[in-house]
Amino acid sequence: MTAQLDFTELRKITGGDEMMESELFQVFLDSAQECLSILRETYGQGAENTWRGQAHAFKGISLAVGAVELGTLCKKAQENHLAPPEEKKKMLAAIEKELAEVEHLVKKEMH
Amino acid sequence: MLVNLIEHRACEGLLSLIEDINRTKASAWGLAVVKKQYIRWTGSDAFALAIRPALEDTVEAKIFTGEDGMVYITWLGMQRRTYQRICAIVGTMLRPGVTLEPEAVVAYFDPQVMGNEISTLLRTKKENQVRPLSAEAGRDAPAVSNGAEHPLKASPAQMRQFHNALLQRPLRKQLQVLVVEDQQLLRRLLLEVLRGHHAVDAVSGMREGWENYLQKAHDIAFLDIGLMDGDGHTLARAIKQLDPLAYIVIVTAHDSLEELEVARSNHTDGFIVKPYSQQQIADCVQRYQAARETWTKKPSRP
Repeated sequence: MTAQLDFTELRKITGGDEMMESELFQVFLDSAQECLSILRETYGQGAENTWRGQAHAFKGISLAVGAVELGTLCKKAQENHLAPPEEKKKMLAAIEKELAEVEHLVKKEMH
Repeated sequence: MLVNLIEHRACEGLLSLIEDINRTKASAWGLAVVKKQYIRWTGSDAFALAIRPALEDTVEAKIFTGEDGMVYITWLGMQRRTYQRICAIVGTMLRPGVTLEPEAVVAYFDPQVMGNEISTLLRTKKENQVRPLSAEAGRDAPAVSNGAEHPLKASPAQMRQFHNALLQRPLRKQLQVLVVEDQQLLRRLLLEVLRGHHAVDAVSGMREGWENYLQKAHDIAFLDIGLMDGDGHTLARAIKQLDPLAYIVIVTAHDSLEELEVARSNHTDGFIVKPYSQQQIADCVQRYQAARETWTKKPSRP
């Protein structure tokens, strides 16, 4: 899968200010890792509300930077917060893979 | 428009307001209570003359000056605009260096809330038995607040500060905007969208948002729903109960109808689903500015 990134809205906000964009991307990457680590910790524990909350937050920040596919995967995880651990593990793996691709593209933008 | 100036016991005026509400079966009554001690008081006639422009677009209005140190202004129609105008006029009548106390100028728009408030006022005065509002009053139109309980409270000092800020609101040159968003990235983005044109306070929690609103009575508040220490709906409800004129926009990634319904029941003024565009936020601000212009527009004279 190739990550889809659409920076159009973000660029309207930053006005093309590269320093600001780098800062925002860094905030995104840090927050994404935070969300991911909580999803990893909770997928097998039955903590459905925490899972749903984190997937929801992850979706919000992903869509804000234009990571559409990542946002869609997070939305799926949010909606399926009652799924059994094996399914959540699969969803988590898909999110991790997509995030790695997004991170790669974002870092390319930052340099 | 008919403005009656009635100089008699405040409780009689309040009881007559209850009768007016029951008689008209209208929900568009407004009641503003002004403490005389905070304004330059030169008599009832002078006050009525000064406040009269604020009441020009109302269907009918009455001013009661009581022996209790209060002035009660009641009106039918144009609730928001009239209240803004009353605040603006009272703001120009304050005594120099005066510090406003809670309830210096308070407005009530929901007939039920108004009825309860009047009951309290009358009970305090211990002068009359209270007659309840008729069940029909205000049935058709929504109340300003849905009246549900919320855990957010304000101390007397915070209320003083809030009323002070509320009086200044119509006179501000720059819009004060509150952003309550727990995600650092989204908070920062909204801040960037708004900064440069408006004064923005961006906070992450419900309580922090509440305290900030009490301090500044912001023109617009953008509230996220999911917050670490509560939720944006609760905050919206608390703000609307305190300040029926608050302009609140829910900004959320929850795109469910249920969330929209809750926002509606809290009488919020906008609902934006993330990811939002810069234009959507700008449109919200523009809608607020247009609404404010309507509330504060000087009535045209024939």
